[in-house]
Amino acid sequence: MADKKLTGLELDALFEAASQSRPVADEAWLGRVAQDAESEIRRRAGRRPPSFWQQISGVLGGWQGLGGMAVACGAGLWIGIAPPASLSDQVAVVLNTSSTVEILSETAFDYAMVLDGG
Amino acid sequence: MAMASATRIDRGLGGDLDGWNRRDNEGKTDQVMFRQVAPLSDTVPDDVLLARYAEGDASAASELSKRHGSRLIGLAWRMLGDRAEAEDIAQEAMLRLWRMAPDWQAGQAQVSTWLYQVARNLCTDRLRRRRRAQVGLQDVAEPVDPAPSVPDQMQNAARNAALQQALADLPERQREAVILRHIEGLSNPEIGAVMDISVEAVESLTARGKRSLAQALAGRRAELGFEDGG
Repeated sequence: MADKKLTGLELDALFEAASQSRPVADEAWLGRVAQDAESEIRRRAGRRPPSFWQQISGVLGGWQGLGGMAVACGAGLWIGIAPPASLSDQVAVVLNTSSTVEILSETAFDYAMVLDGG
Repeated sequence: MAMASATRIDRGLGGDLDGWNRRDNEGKTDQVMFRQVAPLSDTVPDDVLLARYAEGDASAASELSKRHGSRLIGLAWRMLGDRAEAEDIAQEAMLRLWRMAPDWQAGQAQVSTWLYQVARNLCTDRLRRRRRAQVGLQDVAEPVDPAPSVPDQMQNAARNAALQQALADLPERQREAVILRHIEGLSNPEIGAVMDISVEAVESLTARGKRSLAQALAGRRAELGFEDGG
């Protein structure tokens, strides 16, 4: 014959026994956890927030980004102060050239008038 | 940059100076790291303690460890059947709490629920590794009553050991739900939050778990002192 299953009350008695014999966090464990907590405080204290310039540098892509920007700025300044001769000619050409766009040539106008006159 | 060494000088509670000295190569010392703390009481909520810890109050961490340590060790011990592993799991859960402290959003979760959740996940990982290594829960360590037994507690010790063995044979999720509900005393919604399942699922898991336990322990009624019908 199969054994009779435990009743709800009997199970509750087992759970009660288990609750009463829960392991206790001893001093050694509490000490280890306190050490962890203090180490974490020290670690955080040693990690300073980034300075203003560090943040700017980060936004611009670090030393590579800043280096590229510095080179570009230097080149632009140099070209502005002492532009190469060939560059001056090309700029002059661009600035001094005017172009005329002939929408309706004289011949075409005359031809149109002839057609219009019949 | 001067290398600094830290030396604990005082760890008083109740408003005492709670700090560290940092000494550089020139022998100069300066007070760093820990704030002067106000007295703590049992009524201070967990999230307030955690906020105080995040600001550098180490005594708040001690208080949190005392509040939750035993429960975390108990949960992990029931799950893993090994005291040393259980202590490791509980310590790791607390460490994760310390790391989380500066980003903790007060009111979004309960510290206790969060800790249970972390401990449970760590236990699950540990059990998974064991399964891969083909080590059963029964093979790890014979469950023993972690509290010292005295003659009038022999019956409780026997019941406790039998329950632990029967729990070890339950499917993992049923075991978790039964431990959290009937040994740790969490409510069903709390267990749902810890296990990330609905309250109905919690009820189903605990009911099935209890049925399996009742069946598994049926042959040990006499040993457990239930000969007379419990």
